[in-house]
Amino acid sequence: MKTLFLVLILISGTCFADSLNDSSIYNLKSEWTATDGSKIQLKSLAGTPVVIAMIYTKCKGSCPLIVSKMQALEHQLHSKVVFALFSIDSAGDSVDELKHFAAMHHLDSNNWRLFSGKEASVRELAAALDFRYKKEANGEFVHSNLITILDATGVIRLQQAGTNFNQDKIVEQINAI
Amino acid sequence: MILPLVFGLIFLPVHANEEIAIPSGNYAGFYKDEPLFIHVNSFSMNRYPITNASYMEFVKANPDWRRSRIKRIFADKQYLRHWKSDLLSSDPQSPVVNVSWFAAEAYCEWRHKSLPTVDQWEYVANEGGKNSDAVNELLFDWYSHPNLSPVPSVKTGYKNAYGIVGLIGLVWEWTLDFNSSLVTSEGRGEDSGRDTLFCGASSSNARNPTDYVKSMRYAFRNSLKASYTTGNLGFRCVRNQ
Repeated sequence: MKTLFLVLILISGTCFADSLNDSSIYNLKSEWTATDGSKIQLKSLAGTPVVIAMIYTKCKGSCPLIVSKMQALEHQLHSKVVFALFSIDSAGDSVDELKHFAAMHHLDSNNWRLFSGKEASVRELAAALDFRYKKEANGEFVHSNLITILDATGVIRLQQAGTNFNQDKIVEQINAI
Repeated sequence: MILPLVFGLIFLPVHANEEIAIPSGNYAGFYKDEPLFIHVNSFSMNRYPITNASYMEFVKANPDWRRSRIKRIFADKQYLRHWKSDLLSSDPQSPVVNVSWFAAEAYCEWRHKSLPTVDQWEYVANEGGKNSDAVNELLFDWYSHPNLSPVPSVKTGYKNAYGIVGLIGLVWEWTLDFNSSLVTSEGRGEDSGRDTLFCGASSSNARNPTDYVKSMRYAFRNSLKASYTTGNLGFRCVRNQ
């Protein structure tokens, strides 16, 4: 009986692993480094809705603006939502840089995750999100301003471009997840 | 005397992985805010676009990339639609088309190579700055005609000064950073959304707006998403030193 139970658990486990939605961002295999130094894949974010932005810490223009809009969103939401920032500056943004950025912007570590990754990881995530970017000769980036809302399984539910987000629409979408 | 030679050229099997060494050099950037001359390091590039036959080897070795198994995030529904089935391709010596950026990149990685960057691709297409009126005419002629279906053999493509075949005239090709085109400094305050970027920036910010054929190429890259597949878009790989 016990064995049967175990087998059932194993089967359901396998089914769950296979049931990852075909369109889920969590199918990506790229590796990222969290601010605690741990290496993760995107699927480790599964389980709650996630608000994603791709930024870099030396960005003086739109990135801080996007982060502050995400913070405003955080205050408006009552359910558990993770806010994830992925650096596009593989060469410039080490874990220390990201920690410093988090401290400067008072990003509460319970809801916020910051990641750095190799160029290939950035390229893969950017491709999946349709985020456009180019590194210029002076080390600055030209890039899309984009936030993406993922549901708990990593499927894109909403994307907004620009820096004037429609806050209410985002909240509505997240609450519907 | 010449006839057997010509026939030999046409019927010789394509050495799918044959590479050609491209020397380093400079080429003129497309956008006004780019340096006038962009330096490109030496690298090697596939002589031909990747063929259906070569791509078949890839899907045989990597079942996740078969038509029936592909995940939607990596390619849209048109993926390999011109093939008869998972392991039955058509026109083995024609460029593989209906492949997404993810698929093209996965193929090159499997060969321990990479997709060419926009700079590498444009540098080779410009033939190291020698891009002549004749080439432009050829391009213009190609762009103004509907693509042939099925796509002809890679051997029928135009051979450029480096010996690279079919870069223009057969199918469009994926680049590693296709999503870097059109994002220009003017796009920083893209409050009105990315549609503004797509439409205006490409030609208005071009160094030479009259370079129509080049504008078309940059605009096309901008219209792409990484999971898109179309019947006139293939790829080839490069090896970086």
